[in-house]
Amino acid sequence: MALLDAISGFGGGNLFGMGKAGGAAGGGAQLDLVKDMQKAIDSMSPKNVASASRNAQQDMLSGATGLDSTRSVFAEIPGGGGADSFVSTLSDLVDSVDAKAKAAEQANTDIMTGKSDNIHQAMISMQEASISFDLLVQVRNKLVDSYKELSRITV
Amino acid sequence: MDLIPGLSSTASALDAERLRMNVVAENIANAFTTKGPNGQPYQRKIVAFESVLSGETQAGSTQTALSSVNVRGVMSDSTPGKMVYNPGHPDANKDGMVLMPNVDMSREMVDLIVSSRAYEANAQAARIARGMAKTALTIGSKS
Repeated sequence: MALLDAISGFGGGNLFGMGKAGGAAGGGAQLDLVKDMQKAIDSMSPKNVASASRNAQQDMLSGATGLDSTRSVFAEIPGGGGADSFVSTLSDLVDSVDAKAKAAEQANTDIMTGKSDNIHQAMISMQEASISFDLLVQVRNKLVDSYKELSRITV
Repeated sequence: MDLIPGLSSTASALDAERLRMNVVAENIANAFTTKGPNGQPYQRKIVAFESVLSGETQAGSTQTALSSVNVRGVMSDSTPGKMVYNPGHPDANKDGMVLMPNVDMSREMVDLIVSSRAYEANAQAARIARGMAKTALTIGSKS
């Protein structure tokens, strides 16, 4: 059940009530959840999925954020180190989503501190962050779906 | 990664329209300024836009690089202003005539509306483009 709990907790993390993009900007822990899931799915054991999602949830609750550890986690996956592997592609996607979220956060901060008056640029970067985060969520959903499909195979 | 289509062009157009709004506001604010820093009445300002290619077209790609809007410059309108008879005015000449700025209020109001509508149109384009990206993301989802 820890897996379901983790998925249901996925929508949290709203930065300054800024809507979805703010959520994405503050959602480092959620991205951690994604990559932990990916790791567990790759090793294909229900026990691992449960423990990974539990760990990710604990990270979320304790407020741990940031994607700096993404690379090292992906590096631990067997066969995940290659430059053209799916894992490295996914890692790049996570990085680019993180970059967009950080850009949106920076634009918001600049508006709030009066450093910039470019409201539309802030809105646009927020929307970009939101859309790219949605894309990442969809990729994760597909991964979880494929894991579930595999776990239903009767031997 | 350009997930939302045409966003860089739209963003540059929004920037340009914002500048045009600034210039129109400046014109309206100075519609009765009879003496500027150079001793002359205020001269109406106009913005000129130009399109620039943002990014490079990939060789062999069917997709061309998108043009974005760039502000070429803010020019002054050099047509002379109206002479108004107002002998009590400090800037009146010996005949009692005052040279007023060449700002035509009705024209500025039209520019204001045009700028505001253009901004709206670009914002709408951004909204629709975002909707398209969102729709594409729902392709994979169930129900």
